[in-house]
Amino acid sequence: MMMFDYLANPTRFRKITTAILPVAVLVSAIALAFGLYLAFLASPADYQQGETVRIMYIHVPAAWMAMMCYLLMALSAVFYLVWRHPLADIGARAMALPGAGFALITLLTGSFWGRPMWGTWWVWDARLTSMLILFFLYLGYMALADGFERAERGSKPASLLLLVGVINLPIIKFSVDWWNTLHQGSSVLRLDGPSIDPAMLKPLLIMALAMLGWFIAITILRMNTLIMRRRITNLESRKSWS
Amino acid sequence: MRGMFQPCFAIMLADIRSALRYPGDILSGLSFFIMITTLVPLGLGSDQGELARIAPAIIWIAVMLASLPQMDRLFTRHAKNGVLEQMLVSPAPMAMLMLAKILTAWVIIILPLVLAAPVLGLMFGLPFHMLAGVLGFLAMGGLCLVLIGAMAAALSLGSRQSGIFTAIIVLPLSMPVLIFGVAGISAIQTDHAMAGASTGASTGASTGHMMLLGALTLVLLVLSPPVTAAAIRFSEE
Repeated sequence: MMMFDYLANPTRFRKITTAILPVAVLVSAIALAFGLYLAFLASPADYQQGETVRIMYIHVPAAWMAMMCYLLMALSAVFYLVWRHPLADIGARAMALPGAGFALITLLTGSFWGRPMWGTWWVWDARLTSMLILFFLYLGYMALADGFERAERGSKPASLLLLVGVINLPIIKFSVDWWNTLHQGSSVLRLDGPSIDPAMLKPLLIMALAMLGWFIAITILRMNTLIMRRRITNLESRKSWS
Repeated sequence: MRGMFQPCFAIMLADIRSALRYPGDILSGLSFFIMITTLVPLGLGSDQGELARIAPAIIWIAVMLASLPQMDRLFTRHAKNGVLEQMLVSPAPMAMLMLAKILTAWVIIILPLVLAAPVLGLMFGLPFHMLAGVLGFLAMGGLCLVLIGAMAAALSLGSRQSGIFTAIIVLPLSMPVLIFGVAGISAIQTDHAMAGASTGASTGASTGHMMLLGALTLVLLVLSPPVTAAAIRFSEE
């Protein structure tokens, strides 16, 4: 809470985020280069799935990011609805587009992976469908947040929608355990430790770090853009009044 | 206690009266519903076995689509003439008032569709013993639909294209209703065949689906009225 109060000042927020931005970009770039090298060249092929397993290094981190991003947006929505700070709303708005992008990447790479492995581009099983619903929730949020004449008017309804949609997250996470589906079970985030081979786990985690760094950088950029856009709108409305 | 329920009954009565004053609204929803279902055999061909197999899904999807436009208008008139504002300043809890509006919406929007559904079921070649199940599942799932629809209508109240926003919000959230509703109706057939083979009372798969749908309804009964009330409050700020 202290940290949130501290960051709530927009000028201070700008100062701190401009310091974080280059670090995030650098970490992301290095992790991406190293992670892609490991994923495509220096990691073993799967004994069952062959070379197609390399799709995993994009697919799985993107899916993690898509879910984490929604969770962060929902947390921002709580902050916005309870403490009414505009920065929390701007944060949620800034994260929506990257989040939707991650969900789309997950669906697309999953489809490319499903074609050689399952023999089909798409199956209507629980995990695929719930990820598709997550993508729809992102679209619904963006439509509602920008759907009003006055930009800020959409913030509260859209935040409320985010909270209602949180119910989908546990469904995605546990769908492969609850329902017996075509999608394979979890092999990293398990109670009894990861069942995935360390040689595959390492590039997976490094790719996740690359995506996280990129996500932080893009969110900072988008937040600062939104703050400036809001300032412009305020200045313009003030000018038209005088 | 009486003081709390009195405004709720007043809202229900007023909404039903004004719905009866414009019966055309109910009729147009009903004809939309029938027309959607009519399109399917025209597009798919009139193979009776095939149609009976997909009938539960068609009827469910038609109910979801046909109720959408009416749900979107749930609050628009009251927002325009200031009734919502009066509800907010009244001492009665807003969530209770919203629950009253939602239950009335079930009577006005869903009930006509539910009552028409068995006729459509017969036209699609559903056996007679399934029709009670069709009624039951649509009535229960329809309550879920209005609970979700009220939230969506309140959230998109006053936006530029509230109709399409309501649809974008309602449809993803109501997918579980569709899944359990269709599976439940389809399971009646297999339950019936099983019951014919073995004598004695048995709870079939369709009862299980009904219980899941009932659980979903209970969750939404708790969740939807306060969310709707909060969204209305935001729109009136």
